[in-house]
Amino acid sequence: MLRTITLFIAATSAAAYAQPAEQAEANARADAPSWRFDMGSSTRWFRDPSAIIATNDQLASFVMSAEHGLGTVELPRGFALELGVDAMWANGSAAGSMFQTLETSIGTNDLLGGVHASVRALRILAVTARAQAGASHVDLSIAPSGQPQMASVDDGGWARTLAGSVGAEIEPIAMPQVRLGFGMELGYLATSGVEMHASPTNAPDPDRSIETAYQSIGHLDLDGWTLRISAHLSF
Amino acid sequence: MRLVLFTTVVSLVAACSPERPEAFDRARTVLGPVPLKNRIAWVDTALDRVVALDLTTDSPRVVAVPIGRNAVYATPSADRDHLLVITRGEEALARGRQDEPPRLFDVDLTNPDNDPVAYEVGSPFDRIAVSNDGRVAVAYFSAKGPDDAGFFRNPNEMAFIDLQSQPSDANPILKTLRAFGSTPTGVVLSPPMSVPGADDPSERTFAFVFSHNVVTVVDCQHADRAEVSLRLDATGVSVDPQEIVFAPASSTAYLRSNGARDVLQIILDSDPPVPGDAHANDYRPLLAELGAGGGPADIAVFDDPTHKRWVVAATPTTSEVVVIDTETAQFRRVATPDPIDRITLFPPDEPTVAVLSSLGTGLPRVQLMSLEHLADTLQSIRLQAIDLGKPVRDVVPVPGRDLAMVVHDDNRTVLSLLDVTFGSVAPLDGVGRLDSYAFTASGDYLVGTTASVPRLGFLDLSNLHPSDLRLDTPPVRVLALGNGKLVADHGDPFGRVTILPGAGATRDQSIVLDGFLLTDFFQER
Repeated sequence: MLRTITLFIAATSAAAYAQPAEQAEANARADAPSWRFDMGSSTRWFRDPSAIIATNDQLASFVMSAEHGLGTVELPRGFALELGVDAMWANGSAAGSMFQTLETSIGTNDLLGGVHASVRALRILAVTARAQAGASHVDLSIAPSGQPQMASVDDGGWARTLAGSVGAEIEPIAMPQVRLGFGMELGYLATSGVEMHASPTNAPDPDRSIETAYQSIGHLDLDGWTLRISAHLSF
Repeated sequence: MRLVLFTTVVSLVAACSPERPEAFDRARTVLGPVPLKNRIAWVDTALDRVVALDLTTDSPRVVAVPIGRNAVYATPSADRDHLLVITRGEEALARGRQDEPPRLFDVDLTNPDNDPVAYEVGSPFDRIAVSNDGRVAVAYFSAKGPDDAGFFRNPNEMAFIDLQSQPSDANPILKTLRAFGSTPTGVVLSPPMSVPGADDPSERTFAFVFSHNVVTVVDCQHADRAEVSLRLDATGVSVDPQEIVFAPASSTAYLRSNGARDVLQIILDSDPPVPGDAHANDYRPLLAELGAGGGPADIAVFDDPTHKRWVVAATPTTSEVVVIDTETAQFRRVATPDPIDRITLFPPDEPTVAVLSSLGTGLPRVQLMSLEHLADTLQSIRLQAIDLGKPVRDVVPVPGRDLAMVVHDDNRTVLSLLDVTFGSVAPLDGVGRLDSYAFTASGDYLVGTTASVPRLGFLDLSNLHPSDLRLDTPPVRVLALGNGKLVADHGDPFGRVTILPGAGATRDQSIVLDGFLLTDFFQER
């Protein structure tokens, strides 16, 4: 799968540099759509040992974003840079195991906003770059195998997030007012660590229980490389 | 070129994720809790660390100290400030791993930032005996012997460790004891005692190693010297040593054995070594049989106010208790109406009364035997029968008080408190089986738990007033620390304890600490 993706990106990137300049110039002059919606999936390969301790799997996310075009900037050699601001929501999860008897589960909800830039290289092909900042809510559960309701660790928290990516898009339907296509982005997402505590799922009511201190089990940091594949509609 | 560069970058993304630490894929067990002076320790066998709950201050503090691979046994040091842990180590079966030998870790939990001292003990022993003065530890195999790993096994091998010295080629000393077809069943270390008349007047610890028909004596300060084997089956009778008590002032030990008719007195006497023999001892054991007659089932040793040492031996087969003057070996027989097999002395430091019970038969009474005026042979030794109404299964002395907790059934559901001074008995009714109990450090309270009941029960031993505290979850074990704090361990694999500042504390004064065995879990490397 990874090999196929790699070849796809490589092929489209190579083609983008081999385009006729006249065609790009014509595209740049075209009116760019104002709105764009993306929907797709993302995979994150964790880099921080804390996340790899929690799971040796990748984080798979469902991604949705909305983007508003800011305009087009003409570049030398006839290229045109399309700029937009976007807002993205991603919901991800990863599962793992620990000590042969425990199941772990990581859940994320990313809320990011940023800038999206793309250069139309061919009529149907563009190279893109994206920079985003925002916050992620990270949830962690560690429970006996088959008993998720008995988790001894069931905690979550917010993390600051920065993300950047580059990629390529193909738009088989690229009309002046409507574009429909799909793309792929490779990037890196950095988060601040979230301190997790050993607070169980069935924690007693604080008003009816002895004062309880839940031990910190350390910071969970979900930094990692990301690969996003999405479809988009611009109008 | 660009294509190659791009392909390389994408491939690296997938390949450069760090490896997961192997510890998190191992099976995990937790050794403990091990109560220390003002701390409680657990050993995590997957994460290879000691986790200790420090309760020296008002706020509990959790510390984690890394140790070696595959912890198999943990025990406190004599001063109960250190934890001694034996790790089996690991053989490097995969590239990148490192061989790790079996080691004994001395973890100083008063200074957890210091690296633990690791002694290479050579074999994966699963028991440790520690001397009272904390200077010597002996690592040995339990009766079940070495575990399944390995090829050859030598159950008679032992490691003698000088805990006051750093590890070196001469520390520990590995030694295989001379065997007569048997394997050790236990190791008891003597209190420090000097050998009278020896050139070396220093106090030393002697290890007494029990095995079938044999007791072996090793001078722990000179473990490289030859051991001394004492054959107990000279008369052709099969003998199993069971219990040994010491009189350190006279360098004497008293041994009780199953199958032996009498108590064996072992006196360590000076015996100058042969010049030039580096492995010769400077002592020899002198043996004497103290005439218990009938095979003692229990023995006790005490000094009377005139510092005369006495041995009391119970011989249930003859329904007698024998009181032996160790200076003269003269003895007095006291006929008992019951076959006594347990002797408990009160108070333990300067005893005046012995509580004699017959646990094997479960008779519903005990005998109080006065230990005063034993030297006066013209004065009879008084026995006072105390009827308890229920079978006696165990007698547990209460620290610091002339009280004994008497257990009346195997499930510890029926108890009573015997006041040794007055011979009075107070029955105690509980909600269920007393699964765990402790006496507070001051001896003021008995604290008990039942596994299925989320409560701690208190009994004020000054007036026998009962009270209890409701917990949020049922406890598995209750521990009493030296500073008076009480800890109810709930048996959670991630650690959950309820900490009370003292007996009789309220819920408001208590605190629950949850998940402490996972402390800094994500930062483990």
